Parts: sequence; C-alpha cells; structure tokens
Amino acid sequence: MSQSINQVLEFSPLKTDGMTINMGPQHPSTHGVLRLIVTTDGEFIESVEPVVGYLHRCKEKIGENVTYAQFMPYTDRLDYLAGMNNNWAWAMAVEKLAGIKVPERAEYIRVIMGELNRIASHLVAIGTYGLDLGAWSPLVYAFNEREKIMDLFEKTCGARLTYNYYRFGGVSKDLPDEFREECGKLLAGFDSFLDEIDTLLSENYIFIKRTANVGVFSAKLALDYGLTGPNLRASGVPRDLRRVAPYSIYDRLQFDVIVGHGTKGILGDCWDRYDCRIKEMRQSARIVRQCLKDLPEGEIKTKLPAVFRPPKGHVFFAAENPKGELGFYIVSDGSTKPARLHIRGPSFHSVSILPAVSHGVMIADLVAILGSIDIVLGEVDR
Amino acid sequence: MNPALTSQHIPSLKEHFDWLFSYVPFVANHSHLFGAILLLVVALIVLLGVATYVMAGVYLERKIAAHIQDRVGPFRVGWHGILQLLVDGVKLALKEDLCPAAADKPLYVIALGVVLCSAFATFVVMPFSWAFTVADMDIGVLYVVSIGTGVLVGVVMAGWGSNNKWSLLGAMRSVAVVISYEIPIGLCLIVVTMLIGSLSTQRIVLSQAPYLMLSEAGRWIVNPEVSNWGMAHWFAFRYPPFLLIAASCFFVAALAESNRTPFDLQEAESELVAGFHTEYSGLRWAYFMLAEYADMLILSMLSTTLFWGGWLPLQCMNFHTPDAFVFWGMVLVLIGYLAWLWTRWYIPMGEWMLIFVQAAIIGVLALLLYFLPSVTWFILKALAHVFVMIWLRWTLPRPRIDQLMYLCWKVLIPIGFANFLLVGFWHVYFP
Amino acid sequence: MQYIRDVWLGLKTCLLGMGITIRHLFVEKNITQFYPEEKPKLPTRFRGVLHCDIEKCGGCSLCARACPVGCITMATEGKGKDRWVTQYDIDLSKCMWCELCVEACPDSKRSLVMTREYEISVYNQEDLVLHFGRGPKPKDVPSADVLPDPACVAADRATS
Repeated sequence: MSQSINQVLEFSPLKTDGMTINMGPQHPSTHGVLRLIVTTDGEFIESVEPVVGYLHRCKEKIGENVTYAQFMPYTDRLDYLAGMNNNWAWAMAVEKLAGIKVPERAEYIRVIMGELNRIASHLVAIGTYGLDLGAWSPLVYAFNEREKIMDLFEKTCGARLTYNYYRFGGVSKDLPDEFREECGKLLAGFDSFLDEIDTLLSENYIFIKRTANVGVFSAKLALDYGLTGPNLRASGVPRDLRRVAPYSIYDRLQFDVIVGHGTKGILGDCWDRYDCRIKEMRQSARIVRQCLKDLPEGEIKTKLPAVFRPPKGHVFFAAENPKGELGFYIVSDGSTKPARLHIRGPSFHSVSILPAVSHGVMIADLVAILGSIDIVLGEVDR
Repeated sequence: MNPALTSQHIPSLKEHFDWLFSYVPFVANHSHLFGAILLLVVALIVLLGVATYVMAGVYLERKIAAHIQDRVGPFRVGWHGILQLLVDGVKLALKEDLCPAAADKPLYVIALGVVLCSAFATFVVMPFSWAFTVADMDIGVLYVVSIGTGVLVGVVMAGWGSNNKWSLLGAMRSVAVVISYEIPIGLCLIVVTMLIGSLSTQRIVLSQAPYLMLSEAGRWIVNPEVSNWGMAHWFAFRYPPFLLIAASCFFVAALAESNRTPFDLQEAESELVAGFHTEYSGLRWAYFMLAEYADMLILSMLSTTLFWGGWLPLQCMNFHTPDAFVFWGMVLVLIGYLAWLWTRWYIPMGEWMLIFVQAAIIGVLALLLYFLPSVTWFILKALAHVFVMIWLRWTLPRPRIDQLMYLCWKVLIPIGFANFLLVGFWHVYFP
Repeated sequence: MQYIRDVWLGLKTCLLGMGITIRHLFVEKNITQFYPEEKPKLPTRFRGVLHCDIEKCGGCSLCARACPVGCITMATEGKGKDRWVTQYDIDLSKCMWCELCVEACPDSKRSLVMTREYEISVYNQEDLVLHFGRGPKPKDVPSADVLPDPACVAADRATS
C-alpha cells in the first residue's frame, strides 16, 4: 500500500521543502550510537546518510601495541553481543598464521560456546526488533532465555558478556560439571519458547504487514554492498562460511543453511531476514545438541611457548558470526605484537546499504529496515 | 411503560436534588442556587474520581505490563508499589518547568488546557447510575464525540508549539488518525441510536432494560409483566452477530482515538521519542498522561453505555435470565483453563497454590457482585474495557500509518456501513 | 476473497497473541531478583575484584606484563627467593576483568585470584586502586654477639 515518493510528488501541485531530521545518536531504535541524517518529504524519505564513528575505540591501533594474547579481550568488545564468536575468529586467525593445532575436545567446546552465543545474539536481535515495531513483551521473553545462556557462560568462564574464553590452541577453562545438565534443560525449553515468539511476532498479522515487502534487498544489491550472514542469506544467496569454507569441526556436524524463500512477500524483505534468524536459532540448538552428545574427553588447550612469536607473514581469516562474516587481517613481522591489524566488521557493511534502500520509504519503514539488518555499533566503529 | 422507548420524561439529577431539597424548606426556597452548587460539587467529585482513576490506571498498567512480562513492576514504594504514582506525581511536580526558547509559548501552554478541558468536559453526560448523570442532555452521545475531538485541537497546538520536528510529525499523524477513526465510531453510534431514536445516554442504557419502569414516585422498579432476559437485552447481544461486530469495531476505533497501541504512532517511542509531547516535561507531561487515560476512560464508558448495558447489573444469581448461566459458565471455563494450564505446564505446587488463591479471590468477588450498586457496575465494565486496552498494548506491534488508514477506511468503515444497513433492514422488516 | 481472508487473519493472529500474554499474566513466573535484599548466587569461577595474597607472591611481574591495559604496578627489592614486593597496586578503574593476569601467575605461587566481589562503588577514584604491597623491606635483625647485653643497659640507666 505504500506509494513511492515519485507517485506522491506527481499528484501534488505544491512544491514543498524537504525536512531534515536527525535520528540519533541518541535514539531508542538505532541500535547503538548511530546517527542517521534523514531528509524527508512529509512521511516519505528522500535520502538517508548514516554517520558512524561515535563508538570508535581505535581497536586496530591498539592491536599494534599489545601482544596477540592481550588482544583477545579487545575482540570481545567488537560485537559485544557475540563475544565468544569474536574470540573464536581471532583465535583461528592467529592459529592459521602460526599453524597451531587445536585438540578435539577444545574444538567441540568452541562450537558449543559459539553456537550458544549465536542463539543469544539472535535473541537480542529479534527481541529488539519487536520492540522497535511496538511489541514490548517478546523482548522480555527473549531476554529471559538469553539470561539462561549467560548463566551458562558465567559458570564456565566467569563473565556474562566479555568472555575472553578462547586461547590460541584451545579454550582457557574446561566445562564445569553441571554444564551438560543445564544446557540440556535450556535446549529442552527452547522450542516452546520459539513457538511463543512465532505466535507473538512471526505469524502476527500486524508484524507481517510491517515487515513483508519492506526493505527488499535483491541478491545482487546485497552482494554489491558486501552483506554477509543472515542479511545475505535472506536474499536467497546460500553463503554460510560454515558450509562453504568449513572451519573447526563444522564439516562433521549436521545443520541446514537457512536461506530466505520470500514466504510472506518478496524474497529479501525484512520478514525474511527476521525469519532467517529464528530458523538459525533452531539450527544452532541442533548443533549444540550434537556436540553435547559427541563431546570427547581430552585436553582443552595446546601448550604454547611462554613468549609467543608467530612467523612473519600475513593472513586473513573470516568466521561466520551471528551478524555476518567477521574477518581479521593480520600482518606479522615476527615479533610478539602484530605489525598491522585490520578487522572486517560485518555490521559496517550492513549499515552501508541503508542509503541505497531508503529512497521513497516511510520513516516507520526505515526503523523496520534498520532493525532487520541487526547492526551492533561496536562492530561498525571498532 | 418503559420511558426509554417512548419520549416520556426521565428524571434528571436536578430533579432528584429537588426531591431531596423538598424535605428542607429553607433550601427548597432557593432550590436553584443550591441545586447549582450541588451540581458543581457533583461535577467536582466526578473530576476527582477521574484523577484518582488515572493514578490507579497507570499503576494497574505498570503492574499488568510487568506480570505479562514475568516481572513484578513497582514494588518498593508502599505495599507492592501502591504509592508509586503518588511519589511519581510529587517528583514530576518538583521538576523544572521547561519551555524551549524557540517554542511558541502561548500555544505551548494553552495546548495543555485545551486537551484537559475537552477530555474532562465529556464526563458530564456519562450515566454512572440510574440517578447519577451530571447532565443528561438530549444530545448526550453527540456531545461526547464532538467535545472529545477538542483533544485533537490541543494535540496539534502542542505539536506545533513545541518547535520540534518530531513533535510536529507526531501531531500530524495524530490528526490524521483521530479524524479518520471518528467515522467508524460515529457509524457504530448511529446503529445504536437508530434502534432507540434518541442520543441521550441515560435513555440508551434504559432501553437495554425493558423490564424496568418508572413508578409514580419517580423511582425505577422492575415491571413483572415484561420478561426479563437480563444480559440478552444489552445491545451487544441483540441482532446477533451484527451488534457484536459493531461493538468490536467501536472498540478498535476507540483504541485509535485514544492513541493506544497498537495505534500509538503518535508517541511511538521507538520512532519519534515521544511524539507531540516530547518537549513537555514534569507536571505538563503528567497532564498529557492524565488526558490520555481520561480519553481511554471516556471511550470505555461510551462503549459500556452503548453496547454493554451501562449501569445495568449482571444478574448472576437470577437463574431465570441467561445472565447467571453465562456468568457461571465463564467461571467454570476459567477454572478449566487453569486446570489445563496445570496439567500442561506441571506448575510446581507453590505456584499452583498462588493461581488457586487468585481464582478463589475472583470467585468470592464474583459472589459479591450480586450486592453491588449500579455505579460500581458501570465503573467495573468501563475498567474491563480499560484492562483489555492495556492487555492489547503489551501484546501487539504497531502498524504503520498508512496501514492504520487502510484499516480505518477500507475495513472499519465498510463494516460499519454494512452493519448499519443490515441492522436497519432487520429492525424494520423483522421487528 | 483476499480481503476477507486478510481481515480474518488479522483478527485471529491478534487473538492468539493475546492468549499468550494472558497466560503469562496469570501464571506467575517472576524473574525479577530483589537486589539488594537478594544477592545473586555467583559461580565459583566468577571474575570479580582481584586479590593478591602477598605472602605467596614471588614478585615475578608476569601479571603486570600480561595485563592488556597495564593496571598492575609492581616494585620489588632484592632478587630470587628473597624478593620483597614493596609495591603492588591494581588500578580497578583500568581493569578489563579479563583474567589474563590470573592465568599468568605461575602454578607454584597462585597468589593472584579473582574473587566474587563486584560491589566496588566508591566516592573517590583513588579508592579504586588496591594496594597489596608490603612497603619497604624491614632491616635485618643484628646477631646476638654484636647486640649490647640488656642487663648492662639497665645498670647504666639506673646509675646515670
């Protein structure tokens, strides 16, 4: 039912001035300190210009001044909702640079933690998406589930958000005794929770009306802007690094790559992106169940020399984070500290697509699109 | 004869006062003066009652919202947070009285006054009980709708006078929505007034009780010759299912009129921060909240009068009417639902006891319903509407502005018109 | 028709959603923890405020070197087994709570641990610096053959 701005302008004989509105950096629905300079004509948007940098913390410069191991806690704070996955990507990048092997048990533990954190990150994504669109309750239900996951993490490594759990060659601590039982309980109640969310959000007529056929990213547009993760897969491109370029033990695990199908509207709309996240949570739960079943005994970390000097060279490694592909490009000069470090944050690319898709949409739709691309400013600004 | 269906006179509040004054000769000689003073006092009581309701309403909203979200809500101030609203009021009153420098000061200030006056002025025609309508005008319902729209004028003044783009956007949306939704409200109103032939609120309520008649002394008594069908006389249950559909349409339109989710784009926090009252802080914001809750109550009361029997009681112990069967049937359904919840969720004994205690309390209160005076019935029914409004707020996401317009113009208005025609045909050809 | 189906779907999904919230409303599963009357039960591995058992500490400075933000300041006297830690300050306002220092502490000593303390609000920022140091090293006690005889000291005092 939404008309494009051209149709509106055709019918109105008056020439009106555009209104420039500033959304953010303090705004309830930009997910963090993002500033959007929006030029509108009444309710329709002419252009959107994202202004980023309000959360810039010079991570890449810091990386040149601390050792590899000391940089691990800084990776937690990139996409602070998916600390385990960030740690994992950094650990794997350095392991690739230095050729370190990881024991079996550590691999399984890494996958369990990574997938649990994927569930937690997606829970925040859908909870806050519901909140942006006016549904207050699913947020609290989603955060309640997330609390259980964070309790598990707290029992394992002592922290709830910034874990610093992974090490080069494994993980820092073994799983506590009560982990298996509690994780089992969490997974047992997870399906009924997702059914509730389905009734409250996914199948809700108003929600569908707000998100279907809104913010359609065609596959070409998504690829052009470097979108990855659920944003890309919702447009129909079946690119999941865990399947395309498997790392760790993903080649042994059974899971489906969730691709959007345009169920409620055009392929690549907001509903597809939202639905991809819901379905990915189910797949992550499936992966965690498999890992818990097959968890072998053994060491959790390969012993490394006290002073860690990786060989000279450079490496790029990308891992499948909940928000997309997090990549680390490391240039090593043989010393204990990286010579240069670049972080490819997936949310940065997700934000860059906003100007291309927001011409002619309404402000309410802009909020819907912003919520569906699920950005975290920690990753955008680093 | 039932005066509601004829043009016979219904005693107004003033006439009840005259009857009261007749016992005191001094007062009876100056009955105009004392009548006016007493009327003013009564109006003030209603006003204070509404203010109290707003405090209770906000508290209830926060508590219900919290329990829906598995939290507890206000808890520390007073027993279970009862005094929270009082403390909030004090805090708001002590805040700095800001006015943006570039704002249009007269508009900024007067907007509040307009909103409040329009909202409170509509309470004078609400039929609280068989005797207690502050001013039972012949155009009662029309008065409510027209004066209630005065709130909109205040909203626009607030949005413009704030000198804030977000406020303006919110105010514009508000105008569009409220004006559009006046039409379904009007259509549902027309169906009811068409059946009665009068706009007076007291008459509307009385026509939902044809078993009542006016005695010579001016009191209401039950007429034994007319069959008493209790609840089935209420307009929501007559000409089924059309008037029930009309009642639902009215409710949906009422949600939009009072800017409640799912129609609260005007104050959509995630988009416009706070819409037209962004620049209002402290006590001024409290007044806007007052107006919003009063608006909710007005529309609830209107809906109660029109469709749900006004101050007429639910005759839940009178097994000659369907009331009792329906009421106790609902209680049984509630018990069954709780039992099903218990079997499905294996709620531990402690929580089950809590649910059982809640159900027992509801059951005991239900028995007391038999003894309640009519004012309480009216307020209970209005509060039930308010409860459903609160419930909906914490469940549904909000549609976009053009989808809201679509809902109004392409769904509610056709349904309203269709209702109107069909009920009209039914009434004329199959009385 | 699509139109009627839409209206029906809209109504149905809203009512279904309302069913879920009403269920949550009546079944009391309160998740609020009444802090500060109820404190959370923290697991043993919780990463709270650092504590150093200075008796066990060998002054090797591995923790200070492992810290990414440099919040540990150490000063020692002496070498090897006799090393005396005069200054051991941890600046909590800089600490990242990452536990790399605890990992760096050698197995033989294990003097640095992370406790389950988390309530560290203070009024002055200086109060956030934890001091574990032992201060200057006490001088050695002289041997008995060079110390004066206490009886002679007492006799001298009595006569003068």
